[in-house]
Amino acid sequence: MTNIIEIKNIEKSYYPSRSVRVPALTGLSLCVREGEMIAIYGVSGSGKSTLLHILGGLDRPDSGEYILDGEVMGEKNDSQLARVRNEKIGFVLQDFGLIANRTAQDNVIVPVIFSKKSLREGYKRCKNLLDKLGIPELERRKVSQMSGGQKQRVAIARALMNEPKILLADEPSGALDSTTKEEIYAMFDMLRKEGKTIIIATHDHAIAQIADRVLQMKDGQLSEC
Amino acid sequence: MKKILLSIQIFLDNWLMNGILLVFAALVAVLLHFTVSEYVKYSERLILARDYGLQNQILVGNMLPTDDINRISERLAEASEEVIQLPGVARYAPASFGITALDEYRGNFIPLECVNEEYYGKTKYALAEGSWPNAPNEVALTAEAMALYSIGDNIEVTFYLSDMNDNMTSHESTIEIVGFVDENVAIWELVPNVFRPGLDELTTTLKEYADNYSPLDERMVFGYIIEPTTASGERIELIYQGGPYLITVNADTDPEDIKPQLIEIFGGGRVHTGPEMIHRYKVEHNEEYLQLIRFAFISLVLTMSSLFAAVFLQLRKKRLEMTVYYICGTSWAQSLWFFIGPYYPLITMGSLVGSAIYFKLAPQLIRTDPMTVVVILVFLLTVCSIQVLPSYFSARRIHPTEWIRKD
Repeated sequence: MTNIIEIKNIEKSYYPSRSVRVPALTGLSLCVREGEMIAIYGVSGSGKSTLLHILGGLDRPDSGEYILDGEVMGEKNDSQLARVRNEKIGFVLQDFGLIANRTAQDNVIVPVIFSKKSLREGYKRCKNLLDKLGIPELERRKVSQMSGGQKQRVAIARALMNEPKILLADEPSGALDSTTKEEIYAMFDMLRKEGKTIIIATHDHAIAQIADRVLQMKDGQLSEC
Repeated sequence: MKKILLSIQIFLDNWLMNGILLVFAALVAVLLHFTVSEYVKYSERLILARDYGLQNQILVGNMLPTDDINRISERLAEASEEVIQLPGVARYAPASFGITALDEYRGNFIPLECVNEEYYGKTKYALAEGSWPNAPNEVALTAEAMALYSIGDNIEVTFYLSDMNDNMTSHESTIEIVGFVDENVAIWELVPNVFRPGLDELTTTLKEYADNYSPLDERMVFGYIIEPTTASGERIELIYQGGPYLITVNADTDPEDIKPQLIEIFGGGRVHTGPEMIHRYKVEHNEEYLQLIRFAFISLVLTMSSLFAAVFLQLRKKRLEMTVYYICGTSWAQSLWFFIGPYYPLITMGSLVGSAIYFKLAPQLIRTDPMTVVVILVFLLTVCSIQVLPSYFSARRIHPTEWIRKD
């Protein structure tokens, strides 16, 4: 299998104030094969989210090289990065990242707004996705009226809307009870079997049972567990 | 198209605040139109006074409640020699003469002010079309009469005059239409019957004049004639009745210096110097004008405060939503613009609605032109930018991942 993600010597620091530098990633390298499912463990502040943000084109590294699906990400401007996020990447966040006063359909359709697909096509796919994720009845319900598990399914549906090659999940089970967690993991397993490349940053070791590789994040570096 | 729909959805999410903003923007636009209109009107009359040389003139003869109109007219005429002998007085003459022409064929009454080259050379009224009369029986009518006559029309009329004893005399004649006067510009109306006249009382517009007396549908139009003559070309002797007289003083004479002597001749309350009337106008008008500016300023402050609050709240409350759009495939700048950009069409719409309301509700007060609509729009958009753009650039500096990063 070919590598869909290749990163070499990525560095990223934050500056809470001018004189204070907090390194988040320190010369990190990683290769991810297409269709692979990777779990990244690490304590809070270890740099998991930072890594996911860079992998997802939400943020840029200070230095290092990042190649996604054969494209050098460092050479892209903001609009081109936005296009990559829209077409190739789906995000699932711990706190769902949904617009509370909108319906599931309104939320799931968002990636279509920024894509070349028509809204008609988008609504059709939205319906199919909600069916597939077992929440067809939530299509017209406002997010603010849903449970945590329902919200996370809607968030997954949105992440899958533009049929991305890569799914990035940042603590996807952080706000869920154990039963719901298992259901969400089962969904990730199903998506992996469909050929999606999935990278999950988590504290929860239960994900190891379904991941192809498990990596440990510590002090801005990754190591195989 | 999809992005426009999203913008509309975001805009409607905040409909109450946006509705308030729309109302405020419209209110500001209306008040700015009133302010501009008032200023144009205000300046126009001052320019008229300057061109007419009112600084060097004195108006005498406005009536007091106890006056008999025939007696005061006689008194004004009798005083001619006495006044002209006063040091510094250059001219003492009736302020205006009028004559009415009847166009029997069309059934129109045409009250005409009799003017000479000196008069309209000083007044500089704007013409809507054609030229000022410069030969006997040439007339310029109010622009409203363009619906009834064209330039070059020769009209058979009967001139009517009434003397001091209300005896009517009539003369058959022909007049030629040579121009149409812009009915919106300020003109002199030197027939004050007010105790303390200012420029407001001495001036009007042909439009207001016509509206006060008789609208066009009653077949009455107003105009100016250079010297009425009969059909055989004989000059018609005009009879002056009841109006005020104007005293013109030499350029090196202060009208205030001879005012006491004029009061001795005509009595108190009947003598008004040009500078005094101009000053009175400025004082009275400034108060109204300042009041209007105050209202416009307060409305502008309210609009801008609401706009600032709306932008601030949008950027604070909608961070997650902006970040969602960013994650789902738009740039951060565009994501922010979805929330801030709609204020520009909103303010534009408010400004245009305000202009439309002004033009619809106050046609008799309109002293502004379409360019003013554009100027007000640009002004509001500029002020809008002063509020919106700093917030936008400030928000752009914070990277969206700052709002979703957990560790």
